[in-house]
Amino acid sequence: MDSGKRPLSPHLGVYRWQWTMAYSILHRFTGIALSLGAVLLVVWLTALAAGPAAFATVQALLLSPFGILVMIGFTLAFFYHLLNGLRHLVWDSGCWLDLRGAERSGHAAAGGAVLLTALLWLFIGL
Amino acid sequence: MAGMTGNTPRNLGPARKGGAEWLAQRIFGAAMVPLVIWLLASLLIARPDAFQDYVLWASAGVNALPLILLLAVMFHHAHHGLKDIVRDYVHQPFCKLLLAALVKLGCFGLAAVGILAVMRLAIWGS
Repeated sequence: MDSGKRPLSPHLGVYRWQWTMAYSILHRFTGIALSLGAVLLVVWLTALAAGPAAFATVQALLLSPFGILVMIGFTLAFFYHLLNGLRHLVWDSGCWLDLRGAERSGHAAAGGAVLLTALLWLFIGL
Repeated sequence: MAGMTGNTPRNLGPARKGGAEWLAQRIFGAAMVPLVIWLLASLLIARPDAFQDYVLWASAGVNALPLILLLAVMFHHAHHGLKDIVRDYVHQPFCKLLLAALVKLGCFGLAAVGILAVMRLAIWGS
């Protein structure tokens, strides 16, 4: 078995920096972050099912200044991963695969994520 | 994990076998879109505040069912994504196998714990 000679995914270091590359890395990075967010959702639901005392402890952590900051980070990661995931689905249909389309849709996903995060937290704050 | 076990004639990846997994990744990714939009919209509309509000929200059948669906689809989707990252960037065979196993068991376990919490709420919550 010559498994060592199999072609590997391109390593990050061999490319000139590009927007599309940054957005691709960001998609995987936010995916990892959101996996931790999914763990948090399970902890939160388990605390809710466990009763008022456990739920109050988790809520106090989430609503502390540090907790809010983490939640804002999660919403930003969430909206980016959602919008960039839609971009991936559009690519699978064969559209936006040219350099211009790929770059512009990436900018739209990143900008849209910042905008939606700001709108959501403004709405929650009101 | 055909690409990892090397069961193809030349050990050059899952030739002709990757299509089903590729499609499953897209289906679960696309299914996440309505589910997360529902979660966000439902919480923003219900605006639960106290412990009892959250229990009432989570224990209602119209919310418990999509919550269980969300947990199942979300951890399946997380498994797809994390598995691909492990495949692409962890090269040492033992580490690759160990991490792939941890990701799979972690996703299945967390989905089960989350679904149990929602079922407890749906059955005994209100």
